[in-house]
Amino acid sequence: MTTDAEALRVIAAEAADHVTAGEAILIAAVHATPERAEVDRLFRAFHSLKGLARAAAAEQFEALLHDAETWLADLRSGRREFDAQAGESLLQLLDLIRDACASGAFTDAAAPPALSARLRALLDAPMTNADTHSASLAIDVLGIEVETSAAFAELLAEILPELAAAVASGVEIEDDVAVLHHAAKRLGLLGFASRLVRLRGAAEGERAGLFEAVLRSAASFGFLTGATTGRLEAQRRPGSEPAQPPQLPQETPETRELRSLFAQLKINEMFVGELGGNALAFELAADNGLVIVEAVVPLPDPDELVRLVSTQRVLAGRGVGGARRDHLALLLVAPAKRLLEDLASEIGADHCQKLDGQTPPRHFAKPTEHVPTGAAQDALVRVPVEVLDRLFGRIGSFFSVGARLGVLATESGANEALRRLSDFAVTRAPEIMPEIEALLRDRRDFLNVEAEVGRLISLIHESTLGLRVIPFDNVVARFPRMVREMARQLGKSVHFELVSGPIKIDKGMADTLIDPITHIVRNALDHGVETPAERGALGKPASARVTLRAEQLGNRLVVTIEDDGRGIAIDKVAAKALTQRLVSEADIARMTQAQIARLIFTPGFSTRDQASELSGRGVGMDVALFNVTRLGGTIHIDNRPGLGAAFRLDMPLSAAIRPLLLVDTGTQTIGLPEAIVAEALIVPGSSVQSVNGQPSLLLRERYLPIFDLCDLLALPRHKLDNGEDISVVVCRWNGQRAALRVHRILRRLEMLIRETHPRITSLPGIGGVSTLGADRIVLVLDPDKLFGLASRSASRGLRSVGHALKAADGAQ
Amino acid sequence: MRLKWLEPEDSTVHKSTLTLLSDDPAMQVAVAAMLRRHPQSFDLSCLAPCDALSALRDAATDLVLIDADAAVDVVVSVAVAALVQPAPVVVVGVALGRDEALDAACLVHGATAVLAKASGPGAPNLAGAEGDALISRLTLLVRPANAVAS
Repeated sequence: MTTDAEALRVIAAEAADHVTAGEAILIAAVHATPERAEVDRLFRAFHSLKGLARAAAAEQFEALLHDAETWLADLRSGRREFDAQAGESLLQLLDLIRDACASGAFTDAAAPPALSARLRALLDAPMTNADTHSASLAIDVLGIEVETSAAFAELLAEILPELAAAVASGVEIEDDVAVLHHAAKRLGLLGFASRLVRLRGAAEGERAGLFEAVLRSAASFGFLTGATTGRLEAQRRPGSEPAQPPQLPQETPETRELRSLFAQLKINEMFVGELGGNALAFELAADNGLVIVEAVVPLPDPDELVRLVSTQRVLAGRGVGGARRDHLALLLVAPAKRLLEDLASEIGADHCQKLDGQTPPRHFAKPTEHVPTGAAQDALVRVPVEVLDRLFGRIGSFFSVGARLGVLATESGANEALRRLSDFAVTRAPEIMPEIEALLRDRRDFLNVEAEVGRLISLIHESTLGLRVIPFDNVVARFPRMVREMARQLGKSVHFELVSGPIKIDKGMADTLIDPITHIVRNALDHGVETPAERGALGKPASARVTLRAEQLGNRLVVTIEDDGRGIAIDKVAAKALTQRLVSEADIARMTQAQIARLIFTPGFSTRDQASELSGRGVGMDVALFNVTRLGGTIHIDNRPGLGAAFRLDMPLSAAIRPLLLVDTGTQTIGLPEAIVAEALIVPGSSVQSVNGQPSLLLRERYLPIFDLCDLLALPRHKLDNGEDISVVVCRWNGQRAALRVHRILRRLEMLIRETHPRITSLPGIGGVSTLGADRIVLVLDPDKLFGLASRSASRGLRSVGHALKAADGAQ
Repeated sequence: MRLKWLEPEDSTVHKSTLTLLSDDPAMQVAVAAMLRRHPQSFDLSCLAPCDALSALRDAATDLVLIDADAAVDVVVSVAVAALVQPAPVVVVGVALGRDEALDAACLVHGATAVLAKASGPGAPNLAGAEGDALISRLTLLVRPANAVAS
């Protein structure tokens, strides 16, 4: 990738951040006029976007953004009021930029003329709160009427090239300069006018330099007003040199040392100022007997500041104290031995702390949580997700090695062998006891190392998970816009509320989760929410309320999508499911309302006779369930017919590494997600009895259906040990309970669930795979699939005593 | 905006006026403290950046000092200041001197000089040696002949 392409990618990524920030404010503005602080943020977002467009040489975008920014500047100054039409145009501009960023065409994207015209019309519209003079005329950033500015720009474009030629050839320039001077003065551009005066009175040898200053003024005028001034043509004359950038000071060893000290003390050097120009900083770098103290004092008056600077060694200062900035934060250099209390008392500090590298300074630290703008960008590095994915792949391999060590530690027969050897040697061969004790010591050391490796893996897991997490807000930022568009298409009025705290989720999880949320929200709007007329007839407010709420409960993410529409029509769902032969009438008769409601997750199910653009094709809700299940989560429906419905998506925040209970079927190791394991126990074989043809476990005086895991998963069965104790795992899922008979219960283990091939996930009951050691595959069960299999197996057992009864008999 | 501690001590002495574009009280105090140490140099007038356009048009000044750390867009501030009034425009900020592009943009749009703050955004050391050095440079810009003579 070329440097340019890389730079453009960074610009696009940054632009996307500003687009998201701006969009959120504009969407919210649909329901409530934005506060001043929001208008400020909006202005800054557009202003930053304009800067990025300029950096990317995206001229068309820059022009559009300039217009938008000018309109926002008027809004900010109270000369205009926010209205829906303006909000819509600004949103369209943001859409355009977002698309251009996504397609990598930020630089070359063309601005639709219609949007340019709309933005221009916004600017040309009379100002609502302008004074009498400006009420009828648009004013540019220089406070000049736009039309007058344009006329002056035309004059510049006409005269500057001629003037350039005259200056170069030494001919008379008086008339041209006089015209420009008069015009500049009339417009109140006194700085521009003064440069023209100097040019007019200059000796011939000085003219070229003074003309450069005039050209720079023309450039500034064009930069501020967006007008073409003829400066470029004028600058193309022979001998014209572009301005040379200033030379930056070279970094010295002392500067480097100082930079390293600041990094160590967690000081953001941007707050310190020019490192090369601060003598005290070098003194500090050289002298180990000095420390840096952060102090906050009430803002002194000028005399007090003079006294403070003459008595203390001040490294840096900045105004703090909220909007009023009525305090001064200082970095002071003091002898290490100096008592902090004395210093605080002497300068009247409210806060005083010695910087030791452990606690970052309050007011001079690098930002930790920050939208990447301005100077703070230097503190952030954008890393492509694929790089992180590779890193995670390697950490996953490390995890597998750790798991293999764990198996060696707990499943190896070495402990038992050593114990028996030791017992034997004590009585029969005491002479080999020292060697056995050495082996026992080695074994203990190995177990300690294994435990330490396990602990380190957990720490690495925790730290690295944080690398690819993104704020949940970013994931759901698109929904306000989507809901607004959909509601408009459907002719419905919807107030969308987004409630999410500072939750961060894995990028992969975010990608998987976006579809379920989209489908459920879309379904809520299309099927759940009524039209304003229908709502009116029902006595509901015309505007429906749809809420998307995200909460972090421990290590789980719970996303609830709730609406106050008509809810799920159970009769309609049942009728459609029968028509589509998804269930039988007997099934419907047996099912609860909640179970019938869940039929909407069946692939191909739709209550719509005809698909709309938005939903009704019978795809979507099954994808929602599939994706959430893949994340190890569940979807719970709270249906309130006539009042609305709520979909609760509950899933672990860390989907990649999950705690499992490992069991052995005799031929295959199986991992049961810990979330579904109620208890694991060994019971006498006689506890299993047949109840109505279904093998059932008598547990605490209650019968629980029991299934052989091999039967459920269609795996080869292990040899039955009739009459002996059997290993049982009791599972619980969505209010259902069932016991699974297994050959052996192994252990609890946190395992990395690898991305799984669709063919594996299509196996009965299986949701994923993991590896244990180098060569042992662990099949990880999918709770919904497992209980689905159990349910069907139980049904067969009830219909005919056949297979299930035989299994139960075998177990007894 | 005129603060109580900005009143000139001796109104009979004709001094140049330095107009500071900054709404950061810490910077305003630091510049005022610098001028206290050099009472014959400048009178101080402080403007908030959002009021700069109209105020610079209306009030004559001998030097405009722009605080880059308080400006929404320092390049725009420089360009406006250089176009609407004839006095030299000097920009100070923590990033100046290490951000080549920003320095160049300020100079292209009319700044006479760009100078780095050596003691942070509030520049408290302007009340000391850092201020002495700045005053020398500013005085040279406004009264080159007098400065050379003295």
